[in-house]
Amino acid sequence: MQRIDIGEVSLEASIAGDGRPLLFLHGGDYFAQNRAFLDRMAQRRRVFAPRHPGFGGSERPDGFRTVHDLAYLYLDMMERQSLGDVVLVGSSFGGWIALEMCVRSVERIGHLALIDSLGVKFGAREERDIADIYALPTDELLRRTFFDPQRWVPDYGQLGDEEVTAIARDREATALYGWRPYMHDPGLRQWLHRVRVPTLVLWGENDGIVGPAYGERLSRALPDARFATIRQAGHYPQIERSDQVADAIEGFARSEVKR
Amino acid sequence: MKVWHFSEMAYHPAWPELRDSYRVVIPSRLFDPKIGADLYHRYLDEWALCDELGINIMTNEHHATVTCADSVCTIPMAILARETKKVRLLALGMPIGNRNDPIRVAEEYSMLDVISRGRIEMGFVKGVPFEISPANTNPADLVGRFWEAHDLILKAMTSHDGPFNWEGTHFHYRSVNVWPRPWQQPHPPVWMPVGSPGSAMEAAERGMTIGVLNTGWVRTPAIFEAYRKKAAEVGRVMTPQRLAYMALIGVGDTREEGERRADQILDYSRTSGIVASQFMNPPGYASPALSAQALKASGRGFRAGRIQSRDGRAIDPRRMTVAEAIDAGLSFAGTPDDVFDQLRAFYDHVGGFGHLLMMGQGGLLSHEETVANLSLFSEAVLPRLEELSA
Repeated sequence: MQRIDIGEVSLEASIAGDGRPLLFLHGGDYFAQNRAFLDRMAQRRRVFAPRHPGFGGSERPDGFRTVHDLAYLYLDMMERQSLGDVVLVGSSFGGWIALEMCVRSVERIGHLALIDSLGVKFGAREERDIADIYALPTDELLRRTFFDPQRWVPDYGQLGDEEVTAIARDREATALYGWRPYMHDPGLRQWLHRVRVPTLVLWGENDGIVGPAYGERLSRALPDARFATIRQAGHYPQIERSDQVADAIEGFARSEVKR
Repeated sequence: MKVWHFSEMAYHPAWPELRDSYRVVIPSRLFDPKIGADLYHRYLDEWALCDELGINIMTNEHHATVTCADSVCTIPMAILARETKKVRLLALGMPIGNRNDPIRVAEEYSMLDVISRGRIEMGFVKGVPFEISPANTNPADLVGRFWEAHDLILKAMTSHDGPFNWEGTHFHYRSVNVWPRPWQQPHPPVWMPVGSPGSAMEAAERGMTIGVLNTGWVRTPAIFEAYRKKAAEVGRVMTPQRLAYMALIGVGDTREEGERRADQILDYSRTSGIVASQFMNPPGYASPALSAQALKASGRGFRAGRIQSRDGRAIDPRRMTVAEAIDAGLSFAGTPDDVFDQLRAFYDHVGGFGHLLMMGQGGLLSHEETVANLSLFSEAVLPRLEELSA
């Protein structure tokens, strides 16, 4: 396992490929299933894919309690690694982190790709923008998460103890950062105008966790974003349609220039 | 030994309408307030009777459930603080990691202690996993929140020189100043339910009384032993009064009558674990290693397999018979002699304890049957308990 050290914080990570840097921020679950997508991106980019503090084999410093801490950590990481013109890609919970980073500083970020991102509350107090993954029966949760759950959800009974424990840590950390307010930062929406970077908002057409309508709304709330859907994909299109998503992001990063 | 009567104030009339979950998501239209009022009053009458029977009183709380309609444990305590004169009142207890305002908890307990003239015992509980959803508290830092609330409540109840400051990880107050101060000094006894040797040691370090529930013949000895060992290690005086054990108790003039009462009370165990599986193991509630095991056994939930027969077989609580419950050490049932003999065998097996938490009502056991059960226990078993010694 590779690691990235950011000051005192040591993260499990995969780093591969050459070229302009790409920082991938994963979602709350299904970390291992991002492999094919990351491999494809690494054919053209230097890909950094850290596992967030508290997830998998990454330690969480005691003071890390909010997504803001993660945002500052990755801003720090880009600075310490002297990365510039970064393609920042955030999936689900990782999209939320990416947005928190961009409202703080886009200095080192050239392009932003959000894939079925969380983080912003649009609806009224009695409307639920993001399905409550902790209250759904397992079967329904999986149907809402994947277009084809049979293919992507692992048989946990067949995995080794270490791997399943890492997944349990992923879930614990997701809850720690995202339980309340649920998967969003109430203050984030009012600062989205600061995301002054070309943005591609990608959405799985069959996402039952947070639907494409939310993605369109998010796209409209950002200063320089366009919206596209991925067919036959749920909440994690980069897992279910890895080539298509990788190519869409690559094409976007090549064609649009930061103003 | 002190005996405490415990009932969950079940709202059983709705049970026949439910299938997969008796908790969290069930609509409150299933609760008829008129039937509910009658039930509350009869349960309170049974507790009030305990004052005459020499049996102390224990309440608890659960949320959004038909198995326990006592959603605020201090409400029956408040009523009983005035209706009773002699017995002690224990809440086991207050889910302080799930309540957002520890100062309010300190105020409730202090006021109860004064009104009851010093008869309150304060339980602090982490709460079962399916309490997380009704409270919407973060399961991943429940333990830290629990201990910070515990520290704050005790400091608030024992500080009598005006306001103090508290800026912790979870709670922030710039002027903590709880009125009234409690009757008992420095504060009422503190209890915590525990289910493992590890949490028994945490309680032992702080001198809390532990209440052990549903751990039975197989798991209880190690928990009590861990407590005694830790108490000795940290130099705390160990008395049996630090240890409590809960059992479902049915006593009758005949063995058949006692077992029939126990069988009805056992509907508590048969129903209380019926929870939609997504609420059984919220992320971070259990350690990653335990959660990983639950994930590997997907669908079973991590509480499965907790109840074991004396020879180590797993017992399905939904279908447990009285004979199985007696064998597992969860129930003492039969004639007064039967109950005493079973209790003595258990007492000797675990090395003694100072409190018997008696579930003397549960499920469908009627008011008349409950009164008969408690009265016969008081008359024919209670006087013999001083024969027990570890």
